[in-house]
Amino acid sequence: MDEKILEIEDLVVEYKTERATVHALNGVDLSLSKGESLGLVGESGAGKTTTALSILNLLPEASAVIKSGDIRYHGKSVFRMNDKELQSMRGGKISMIFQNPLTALNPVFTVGEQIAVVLRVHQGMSRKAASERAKELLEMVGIAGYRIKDYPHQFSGGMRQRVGIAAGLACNPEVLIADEPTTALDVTIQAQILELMKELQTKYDTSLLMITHNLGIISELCQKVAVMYAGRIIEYGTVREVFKHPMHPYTAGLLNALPKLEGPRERLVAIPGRVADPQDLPDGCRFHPRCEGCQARCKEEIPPMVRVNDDHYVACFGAKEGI
Amino acid sequence: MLKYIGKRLLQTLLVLFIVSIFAFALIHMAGGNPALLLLPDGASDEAIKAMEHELGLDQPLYIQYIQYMIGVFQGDLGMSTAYKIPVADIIAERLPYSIKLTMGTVLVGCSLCIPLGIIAGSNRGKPVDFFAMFFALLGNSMSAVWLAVLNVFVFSVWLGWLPSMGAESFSNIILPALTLGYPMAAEITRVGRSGMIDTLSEDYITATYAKGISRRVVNWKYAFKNALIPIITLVGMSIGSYLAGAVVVETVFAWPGIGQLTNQAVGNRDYQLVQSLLLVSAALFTLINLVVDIINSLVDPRVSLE
Repeated sequence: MDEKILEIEDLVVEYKTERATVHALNGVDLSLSKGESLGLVGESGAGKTTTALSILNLLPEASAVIKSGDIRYHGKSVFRMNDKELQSMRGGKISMIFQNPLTALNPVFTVGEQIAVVLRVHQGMSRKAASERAKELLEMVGIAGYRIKDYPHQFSGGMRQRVGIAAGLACNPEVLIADEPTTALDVTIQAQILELMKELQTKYDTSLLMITHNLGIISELCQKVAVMYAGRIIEYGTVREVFKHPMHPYTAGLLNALPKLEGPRERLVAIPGRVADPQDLPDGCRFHPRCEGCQARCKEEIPPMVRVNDDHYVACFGAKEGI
Repeated sequence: MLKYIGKRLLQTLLVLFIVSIFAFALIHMAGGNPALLLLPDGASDEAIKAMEHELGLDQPLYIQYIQYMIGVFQGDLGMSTAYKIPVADIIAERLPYSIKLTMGTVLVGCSLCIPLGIIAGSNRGKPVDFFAMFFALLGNSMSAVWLAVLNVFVFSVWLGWLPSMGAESFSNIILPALTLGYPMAAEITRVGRSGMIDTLSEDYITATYAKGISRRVVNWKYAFKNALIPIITLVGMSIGSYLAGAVVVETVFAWPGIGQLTNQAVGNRDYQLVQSLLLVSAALFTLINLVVDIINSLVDPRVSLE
């Protein structure tokens, strides 16, 4: 359980565009152990997808610059892997499920081919064996096997996401990165997909990095949670601990913003202000312009990550250490 | 599939009917008198009248049109007034040359430039991309006349490698095919490149990389098939228009295809021949379009034939 499979260390990534530099990641530290499921939460633009793509070293070459930091998979830096090592890692050991099932499947290839190719590449299966196995995988995610010869446009969004999951799980990867796998789906389908992922994750002892902005999904599916704001992890710990005693005002705000089913009806609570603009980040703590407990120090220094207890870490000057 | 083809063929008949009316109207509006062109200078009025009667030109236009169409439905495209032989025979003799030239052109256009477009698109901003874009800009900017003359000057006059006219041997086809093929190649390069650039920015390409597929396979298999779709449409349209006659190029290189024939027939006011040429060209064009649509539906499963 304690063996670290994946370690992200002080990762800084920028996107260069003609007009501006986007500071997507500003020192991300994160790690993932065997069989662990970690939720990565944050608003849109917090850098969640960039983190995911970085792990597979798949950032767009033309615009993304890795300024510093490293990502190690079993101790080996993914940025220093050669093409062959990268290819055997991608899809074979670490696989990814994409956010939008409507655009993540190639429209001119059958879904069978898009699952089978993973098996041919990583397990050296023959065309026939791979296609047989692809059929089984489709059935495992609840799609009739005969549909293997159909094209993506013949499936609904939820079914396409199942196809994506089948392809992601084809080689029993050590790590599964799910980038908002249910955001584009409606609620009933969401529940089915999550149930499926939970089942498969426990069955194969896969480590899961679940990227989402839905706190419900995290509490449902994950043991650990990392909260991301403006390209940094600002709070990290077990889901139980963090959700029960959020230390960072941003995490507290997120939890507070959830509408409650019980009790009298209240106005929805929102975190004041706007998400930090990654093209023009505030100095000091990125959250300080929106923070109620903001002190003079918060405007100048970036708060380091401090230990609250073994299950809880937070990056906020306002949080008391060692509770 | 068969039902679809049948439906399309019926539509083709409608198109051909409309084309026949336009062809008939255009050539008669163009003025000039075929009888005059057939007779020696200074022929008497009686001789002209007699010739007009022989050609059926003394009858009202709608009668002429109806007679022509009755012939067409019986498989008779009429007699050429200038050549005095059946129009069908002339077209049958010339069409193979147009087909040959079209095949040569498409070969020139596709063989080099589908790969060039794909390579350029997948290496955006690199030297090979600049080279391809320069090549394409050049091809798009040169008019056929100028390019034809340039080719004749360089390869026939200056280097003396290739014949500049005629159709006797294989070497004759090279210059006209190059002349027609270069602009087509340029267009294919551009379309292939932009198709590739669009495709490579899609999520499903990132997803394909995330499966551990190598760059070469992603480019040439998974992205290629998407980038091919606009190219097929482009090539199909071009084939139609080259078959229907590359007038300028065929005239410059004295290539005895449909284009050159059309040019001569209009000059001769050869009514029957012009009408039938336009009909045949339109028929070829719509048939090629049908074939292109079928091929497109095979490559792109989202295109349904119904």
